[in-house]
Amino acid sequence: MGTLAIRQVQYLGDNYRFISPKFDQGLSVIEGPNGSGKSTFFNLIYFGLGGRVPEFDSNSNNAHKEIVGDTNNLVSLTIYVNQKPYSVVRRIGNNSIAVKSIADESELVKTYPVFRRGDQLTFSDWLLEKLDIPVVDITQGSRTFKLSFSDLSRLIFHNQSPDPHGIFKPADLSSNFVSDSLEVRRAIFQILVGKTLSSLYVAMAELKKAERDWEAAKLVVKEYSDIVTHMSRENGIQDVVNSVHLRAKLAELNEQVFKLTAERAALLSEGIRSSEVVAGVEVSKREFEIALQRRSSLDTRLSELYSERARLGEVLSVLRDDISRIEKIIFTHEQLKLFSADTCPYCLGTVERPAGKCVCGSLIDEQQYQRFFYSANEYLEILSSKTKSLQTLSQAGEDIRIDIEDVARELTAVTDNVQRLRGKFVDAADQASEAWSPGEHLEQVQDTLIDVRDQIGELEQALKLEEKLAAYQRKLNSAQTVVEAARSKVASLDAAARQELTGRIQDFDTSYAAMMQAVLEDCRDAHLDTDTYLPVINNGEYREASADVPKRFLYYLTLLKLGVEKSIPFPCLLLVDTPETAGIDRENLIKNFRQIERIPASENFQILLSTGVGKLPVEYKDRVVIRLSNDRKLLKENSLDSQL
Amino acid sequence: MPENKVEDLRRLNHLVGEDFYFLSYSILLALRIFPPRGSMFRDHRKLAHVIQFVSDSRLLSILDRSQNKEVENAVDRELLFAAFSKGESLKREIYKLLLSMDQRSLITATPSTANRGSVDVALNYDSISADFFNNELFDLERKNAKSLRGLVPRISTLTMETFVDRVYVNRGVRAWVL
Repeated sequence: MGTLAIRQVQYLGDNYRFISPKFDQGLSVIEGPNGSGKSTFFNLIYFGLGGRVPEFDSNSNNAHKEIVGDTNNLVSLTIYVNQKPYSVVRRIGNNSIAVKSIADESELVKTYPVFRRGDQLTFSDWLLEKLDIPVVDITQGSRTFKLSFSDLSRLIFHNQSPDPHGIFKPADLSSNFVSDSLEVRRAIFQILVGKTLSSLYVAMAELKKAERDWEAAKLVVKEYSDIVTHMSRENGIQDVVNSVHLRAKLAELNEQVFKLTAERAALLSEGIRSSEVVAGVEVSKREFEIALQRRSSLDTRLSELYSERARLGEVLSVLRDDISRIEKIIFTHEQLKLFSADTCPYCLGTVERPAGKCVCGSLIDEQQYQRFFYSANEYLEILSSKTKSLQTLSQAGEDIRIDIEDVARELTAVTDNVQRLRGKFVDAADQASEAWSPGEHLEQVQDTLIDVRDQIGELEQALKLEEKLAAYQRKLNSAQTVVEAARSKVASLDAAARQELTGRIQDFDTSYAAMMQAVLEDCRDAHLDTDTYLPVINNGEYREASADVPKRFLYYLTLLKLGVEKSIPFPCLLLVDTPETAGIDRENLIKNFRQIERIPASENFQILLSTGVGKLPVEYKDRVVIRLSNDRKLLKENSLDSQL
Repeated sequence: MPENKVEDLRRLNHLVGEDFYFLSYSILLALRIFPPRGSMFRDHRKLAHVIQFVSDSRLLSILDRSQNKEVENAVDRELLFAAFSKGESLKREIYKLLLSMDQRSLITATPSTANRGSVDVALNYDSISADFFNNELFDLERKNAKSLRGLVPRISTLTMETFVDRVYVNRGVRAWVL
């Protein structure tokens, strides 16, 4: 299983610094009096590994004033995770940790947050993965959180606990929503001692997730099937029809559509006009139009001729009237002889006028004398000229009459032709339209086709819904399978884990009892309570205060021993800060320390232990790697250092 | 100008409707037919219009077809208006002619009692032989005059205004007494 070892601890700030020697495996001791910086040493390690240290928080009541007051300060650890060296750097007051592989130069520095935010990988996730410890979900009530390295540290970091009876290091306060429940403590113990138990926790988390998914899928199917039922009812489908039957029905209807389409095409092609028929109609139409045009132009010509004749008639009638009036004029002239060339144009009296002179006496050419009056001869000439005109006009009238007759005759012929061609055109059109008429059967086919297509539309809609429902059902089924698999995995792991745990607890009890009996002469028995995994001394009757130190120290030591001897997740590292604080005399304390020897030195483990001056067994003197005193504290001022 | 050209020109310039002999016989026939013997034809201006109707049977036909209503046919209305305007344009010539005939004692013209500037006229029956009026050449004119007498009663005593209203205005022709 994975091991974790601290190789070197450094604190670097503008004002202070601390650079530890390099720690080997096995026991390393930090020795110094109270207030010389032993706890600060462990706090630096814990902080560097993602723990929450109130003393490093400037808002805290008992802030470490040198560190909080320092600037540009950081903790740098060199650690071995599963024998591989890494450099881990965390700035004071910062909640992210930079990790760099020391063995692999090409690996880039990676920065991980200390606290979980969303799906981001935390430093704890990285470290636990390297240690081969699964990150398990602990569900408490409605909240689920992931167990972190800081949580597991509660059985690795033997701090100076304010509670002298406690075994576990108190939980980091308000670092996140971790609450220090029995459940959490049990989980920490179980994960650290049992590999199968770790797997069980993982399996249980998976089961929980699978169950949630299954519930969700169940809800979706229920909701969706309600919707489908509702929509089907809207579409007039009362009974549940699954997608197989819907597909069959659709295939049937599509077949019907195919047949109907073919039938319709056949009916249409029967009725389709041949190009001959079309051409026939076109020709008839053209002939009819030409005849109509001809008739129209003849009509126009005829009406022109009529109006010409009418105008001529008018002229003729005027001319005839004139002729008859001239006859009357001549008659009146002969009878009354009222006017002559010698009539005065003003008074119309008779003028005695000499020849060659006008009535006014001016000389005139008698021939050109524009007299107002005409002689009998002149009237006769006018009459004869008018009569001649009448003859001419009569001839013109005759011409027009002949024209009219011709045009009228042609018009009659053309009209007949128009009539005939119209008939022909109508016949051709009728023939064509008869051939084209769709008929009742085609309409039936069309109607059926529309009906069937409507049905197809409805069924396709239903099928879509059913298919979706089926997909949801499949999802539900697979979710159920996952749940069942997870359940059986949990069940089998649970059995194995119980067995394993029983074995571990037995191993623990054996080692723990042996150590406790070696340290406390009145200890007959020491074993773990199987509910709380806390030690019970002499069946709970033992209440000596002097037992508090061994009870807790040997608990940690037993875990380390198990870690070395058995293949369990415990990372074979103990950080033990001044265990005598809880109250113990030197002799007994030395007995406790000597229990470390039960772990073979050759094994791969590490204990960083701090203690007061002169508290160690003599044989451990050479294990002291850091000696602190009131003059020689952990943190050195940079200025002093530079003076030296 | 050659002689025959002059003749042609004179012939062409002859307008039958304005010929003095045409006007003369028309007036004489009207005076013979309309007023009873010994009575006057009042207001010579009416004569200018009356002779249009006496010499043209078409106009009488129009009057006959439009008794108590307007003339329906546009062509007929046009012809009736042409008669009115022709009558009006001949007024002066008629007046001159009447005075000339009065000088020759064929008629008697006296200043009108109905209208200042007009003359009332009567035929001197003794001055023209009855054969003249009864000549078959004037059959049409006599027939027309008699028709007109039926269509427009008391034509010789009507005022000019009444005559114009009855003959033209009532039949839908725009006419006025000038």
